Amino acid sequence: MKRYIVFIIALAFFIPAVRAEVQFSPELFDDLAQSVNKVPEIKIPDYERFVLNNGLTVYLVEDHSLPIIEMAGFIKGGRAHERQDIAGISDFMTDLMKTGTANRTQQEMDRFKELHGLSFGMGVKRDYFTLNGNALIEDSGYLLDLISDVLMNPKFDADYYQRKLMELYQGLSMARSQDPVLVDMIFYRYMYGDHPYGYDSDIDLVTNAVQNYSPEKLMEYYRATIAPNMTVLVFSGDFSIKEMKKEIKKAFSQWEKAPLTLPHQKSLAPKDKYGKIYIIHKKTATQAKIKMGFDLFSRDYPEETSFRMANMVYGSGSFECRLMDTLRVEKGYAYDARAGYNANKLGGEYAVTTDVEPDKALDTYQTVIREMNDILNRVKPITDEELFKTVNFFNALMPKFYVESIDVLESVVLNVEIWNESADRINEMIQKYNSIDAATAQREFEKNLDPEHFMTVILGDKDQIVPQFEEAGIPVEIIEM
Amino acid sequence: MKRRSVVFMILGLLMITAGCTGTQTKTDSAVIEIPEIAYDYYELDNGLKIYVVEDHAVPLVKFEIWYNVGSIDEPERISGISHMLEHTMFLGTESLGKDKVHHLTKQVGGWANAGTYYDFTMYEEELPSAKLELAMAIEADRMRNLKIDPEEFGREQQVVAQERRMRMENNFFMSSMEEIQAAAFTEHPLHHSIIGWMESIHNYTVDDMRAYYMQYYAPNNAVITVSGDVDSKEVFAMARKYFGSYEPQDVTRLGVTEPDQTEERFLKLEKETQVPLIGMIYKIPEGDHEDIVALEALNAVLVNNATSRINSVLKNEKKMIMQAGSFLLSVRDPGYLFVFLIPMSVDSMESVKDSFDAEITRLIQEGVTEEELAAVKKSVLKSRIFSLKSKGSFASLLAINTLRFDNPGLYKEQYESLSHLTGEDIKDAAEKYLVSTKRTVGFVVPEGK
Repeated sequence: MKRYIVFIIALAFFIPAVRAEVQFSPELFDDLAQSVNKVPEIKIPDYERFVLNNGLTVYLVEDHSLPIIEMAGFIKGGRAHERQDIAGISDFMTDLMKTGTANRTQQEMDRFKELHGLSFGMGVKRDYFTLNGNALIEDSGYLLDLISDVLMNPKFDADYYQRKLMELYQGLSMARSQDPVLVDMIFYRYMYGDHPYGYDSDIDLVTNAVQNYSPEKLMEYYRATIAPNMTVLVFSGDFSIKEMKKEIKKAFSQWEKAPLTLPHQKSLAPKDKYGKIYIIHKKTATQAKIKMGFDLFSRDYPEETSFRMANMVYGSGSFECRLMDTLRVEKGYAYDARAGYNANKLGGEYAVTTDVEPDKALDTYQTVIREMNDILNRVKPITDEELFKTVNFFNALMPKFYVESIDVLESVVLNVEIWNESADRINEMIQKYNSIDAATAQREFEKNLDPEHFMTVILGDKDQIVPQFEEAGIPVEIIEM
Repeated sequence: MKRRSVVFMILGLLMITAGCTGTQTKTDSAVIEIPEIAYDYYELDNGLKIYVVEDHAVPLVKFEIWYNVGSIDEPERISGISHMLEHTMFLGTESLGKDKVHHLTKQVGGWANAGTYYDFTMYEEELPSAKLELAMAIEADRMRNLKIDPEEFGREQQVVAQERRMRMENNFFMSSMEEIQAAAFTEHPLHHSIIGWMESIHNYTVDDMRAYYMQYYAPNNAVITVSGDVDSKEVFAMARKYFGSYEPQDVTRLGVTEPDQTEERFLKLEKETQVPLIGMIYKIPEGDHEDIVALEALNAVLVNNATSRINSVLKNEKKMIMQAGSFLLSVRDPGYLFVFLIPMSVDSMESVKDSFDAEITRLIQEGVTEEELAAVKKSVLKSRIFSLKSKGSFASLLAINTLRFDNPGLYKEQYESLSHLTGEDIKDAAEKYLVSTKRTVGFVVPEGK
């Protein structure tokens, strides 16, 4: 086992303090660090919402601060539409849609975007597709033309189809060299089982499914997922709403409505893998990459904000959280350690992630559990001070994420149109986290987390990692890649 | 104190020559006004430079202090020590306990961070604007009063070693790039990466760290930027209070020049990867050299644009590569252009390299089209306007240009150069710098191939 020298020098070295106008002292810093921040209120800009005859929903907001236009958008459904035999098809479909259309070859599309300074992107989330784009305001017409062309006129049997397929295979092959990808594949495969939420992480599954892709399948999938009546677009910029409304109608009115429904809501897989530890063997790895987690609540969980505050105390990833305090500051094991979660429509997942030297794998595993148990068993419960710092932090920084009109409106639209929540959800959340106390945060932490159920995936050299667990009497399963 | 606020007029940049099928909400204009962000500047007697960019959108402030020292200032024995010093700065002073910087900034609702680059090291705090003095006090104290406890220092060495494992050793792309860069630079400290070699990380001593800190962390080797909801005059007064009594000091640098490369260097690297990679380094001049703008345009036309020669021919037409990319390392000293290509197979690596070279030759022989030039100019114009959304980023730009070249307005000069750039300039840059005898090529292949 590789060991590194740790310097132990008996005496601390002090550099003499330089005389300054200010005499530095712990008291000075404590005095300067007193602050209770105001509860912020996010101003939602005046916007106009309208729906075209084909069901396309559009939000517009004027922002004349710069000569630009920005777009964000959502298409309901997302990865939840996928089946095992066509796993990953959402990503390939959006990739092809961005590459060219029935009206523009790839080269024409690329040239059009570059000459007019157009940015456009599509992404796939578990419960929706995302859209984004921008341009100088002078090019807003070109931007609308591009967006409508991509959404309305896909061409899946284009001459680049085979090349894109080859690139996809190569990309999947390359992904096998990436440690985080391998860890996620096992983690989400066991987390979500036969549910589309985990398909995109499973490169084995996607590699097998790719052989089922065809231009016809892609068109069929497009017709089942993309339609104006499932789409919401948001535009912000240096335009007049009146004029922009006309332009949007002109650009999108020919897009035909389709009788689509949201994906069938099948339940998540049973959790028979919980409590297990999987070691992905990689002989050349010089670190142990660790992911530990279990299932969590869905997006509509009413106490999500209280849980969020509690989890920030445990594992926000910043230096004051319990995990970083122990694994980095105290032990010097990790550069980064954090606990995060995703709350999807049908259920979510919670995961602690970190990377450490291989011979620290067991101690890190146990430390993650111990720190969680110390909260759960109220050995070290969440304190008022910790909660105050977290709330104070949110109160100070929250406004900066909502300076731009497009950011505020995008958030409003996501909450209203995708999650069926209030348009003022941002401010409701702010009020909520300001109303909770440490006991509430503690209760939510206890209610939702249980380290007994941790499913753990560790990527590293089994010869260095497995003996540690065996010695501690903890069974592990080896996965050879 | 000097206040600068101008409106920059750019002529002719929107004269797009290609046809289009789109509709327009406004008529194209040949003139676009780019509002310049106003800033205030002040220099203390001890040489500390301070830029303030007022932005009253939200009651926050970002404080940054930039030291003119980075990995290109490090002798090989202590490679990565600038980055190690960045970590050590969080271990505290007599008045600031270990990690107190994070705790204090969090307490007021802010955060603190730091970063090390090839030619600078930066520390930053973002907090409620009323608490700016906390950031000022933290940075003033640790500019001169750093305490280096050997036990804590040793523990932090472990953290940095782990960071190296995470960022470099277990990432085939980064570790390959590190080796190719080391082969390209034999004398200059660009021989090593920012994080340094593992052996160095384990062998720094407290004395090494103390000496390095004392040599480079001085007011005349630093620039402060403050952006946010503040009043410039108050910021300058605060800076005088906290930093005014510090003495400037002599800052000496290694002064190592990389010898001229006269023949192509080649290395084959076996890595745990499923796909091959070609990495190439071409030497380029320092970041304020008159050829840099043409090199950036060349980079876009040859590799990075969607319609670049490499994407059009090697990727889309010949289907030889899966991906290509490149970037300019444009710093205080002569740097490099790094190009990477991901061939479809190990067997095709030589022919991919040959095809890449053929595209350079074609560009030199045939020149650059009007469309290619227009696309570059459009992209830069758009970036410039969108960059105005972040005043913090603008403040950083001022700091970096000041540290490197004592020329905060370099970005304007380079933008002006770009507006006059011709296809001939790009062609000349290719001919001058994309020379195979001055290049280092790395073939990265799966183990055993």
